[in-house]
Amino acid sequence: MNKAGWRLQGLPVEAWRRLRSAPTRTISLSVATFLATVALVTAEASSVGDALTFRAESRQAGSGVAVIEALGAIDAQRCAAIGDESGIVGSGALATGTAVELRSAPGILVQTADVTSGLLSVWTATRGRTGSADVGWVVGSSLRTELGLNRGGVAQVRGGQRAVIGTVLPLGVRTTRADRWLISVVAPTGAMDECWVEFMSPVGPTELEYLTAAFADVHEASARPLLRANLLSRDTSQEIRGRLSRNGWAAFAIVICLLHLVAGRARRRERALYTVLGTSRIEHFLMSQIEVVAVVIVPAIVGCFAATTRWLLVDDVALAGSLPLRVAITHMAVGVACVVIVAPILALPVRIDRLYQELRSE
Amino acid sequence: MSVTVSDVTFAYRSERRILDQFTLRVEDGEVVALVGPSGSGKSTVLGILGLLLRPESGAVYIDDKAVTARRPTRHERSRISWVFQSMNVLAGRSVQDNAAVGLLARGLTRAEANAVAGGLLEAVGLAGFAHRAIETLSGGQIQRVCIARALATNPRLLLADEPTGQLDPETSSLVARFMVAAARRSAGCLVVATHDPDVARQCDRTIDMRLEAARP
Repeated sequence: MNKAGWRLQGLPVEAWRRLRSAPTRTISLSVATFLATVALVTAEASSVGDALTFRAESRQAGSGVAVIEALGAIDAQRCAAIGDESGIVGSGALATGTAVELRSAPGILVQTADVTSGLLSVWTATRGRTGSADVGWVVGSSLRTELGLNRGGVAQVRGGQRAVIGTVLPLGVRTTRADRWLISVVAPTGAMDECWVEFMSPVGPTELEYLTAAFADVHEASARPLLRANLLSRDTSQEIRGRLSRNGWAAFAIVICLLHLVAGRARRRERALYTVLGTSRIEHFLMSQIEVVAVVIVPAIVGCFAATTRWLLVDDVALAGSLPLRVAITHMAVGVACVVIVAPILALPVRIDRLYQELRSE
Repeated sequence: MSVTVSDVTFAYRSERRILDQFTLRVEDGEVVALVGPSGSGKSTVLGILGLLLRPESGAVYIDDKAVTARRPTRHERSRISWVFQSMNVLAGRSVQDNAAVGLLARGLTRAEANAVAGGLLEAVGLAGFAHRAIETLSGGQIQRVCIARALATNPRLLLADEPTGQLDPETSSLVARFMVAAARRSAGCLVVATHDPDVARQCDRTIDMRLEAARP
């Protein structure tokens, strides 16, 4: 007879039989874990998702954009160079010109402007993916619609310049006025009126100070955020860090461990019997571990999957690889790992003499 | 296997001493009854003999080797089996599962354990009960399952703590006879703590714990 104790393959079978022998306990713990996971993943995804949606929308609207202006005094080269610095998405300078009238649209005045190419990326929120627009004029979508201008067409200014429409861009993403301008892309040289800088972070006092310092020698240069301050009042990073559902996983781990502690207390006699019959602590620990896997890990995974599926179907949000899901899964993994480590330890027998008393007690 | 407790003293936490300089030697194949009122130390002696309780002082010898100063080995514990007064069974499990669990803990496969347990269930008169839920059996039948479970591992020392305490006189007599006979067949030693004079009469020797406590 093998004196080494349980065969390894016998432990999962015994653990499974133990689970089956107490269906109420097994089902209660599994359902509690499942429901808690569904609730927490849903809460995590919605709270983080809401903050991230706001962050993405405000970024698209230009929460990271600041403008410094000084009529005819902004060094375009310096402005363009800021775009290469760390923490900066892009930058570009603007010099507004005169209002002109096109031959094809008599009576309608159109504002002209010279811009450096980086500004087109800032205006279109394309993070430098606008491409070259150095042939002909650039017009915005509004102007194209209003005057019927198309790429490749020719526009002639009454009493002046005649040029090809090189590019049509959605310039109204961050500023509606530029969307109906007739724009020439120029090299970043000379003095211009405004410098637009898109920062990686939302514009705050630090960003404005940085921009002011960059043009400190320019008399009366004033920096301002593109969006009004009240549109930037939500600190999404703080919201994500301080979300209530984050603490939910710790509470989840504590509650599940407490449930196991209570269940373990109720099973003291069974534990004592296994011990007296020759089951070692480590064997008991492994059996408990397997039970916890069955009633915690499996329901948690199924719960996470169910919450994700529900979100995909009901809220129609593309979650794959998204931060809310990663955050939820990371915290769930930590919570479940805590339960898996702690719960079986709670199920371990304390002292064999106490177990003996347990066996003898009525 | 012989077991000796020599001059052992024992008290539960701050309570009065249950055992004071108590000595007992149980020889191989011997059947010993411990009698005496509740609180006289019968179960405590069993706990010490079964290596579940450690005495404050004195020594415990298994086959004349001292085991008091160290943690008992798995091998030493594996030679000892128990039958308790309260029906200690795995709830919600079958009779066969209950009878076989000790064998599984000793490394047998489930098929081997079930085969051995099946034979012992037949020996205790529960041949047709193997697949029934343990809760469907009467008290006497459950105690016979416990005896089958204890004997399944072929113990060299069987310790029985009031094994008939919850049974009616008829069943009690049947269970006691069966247990003593089984111990004699296996040539191991049996120590039984009991209030039942009928059980004590079937043993080779009776130790009265009242007299032990009064001994100077």
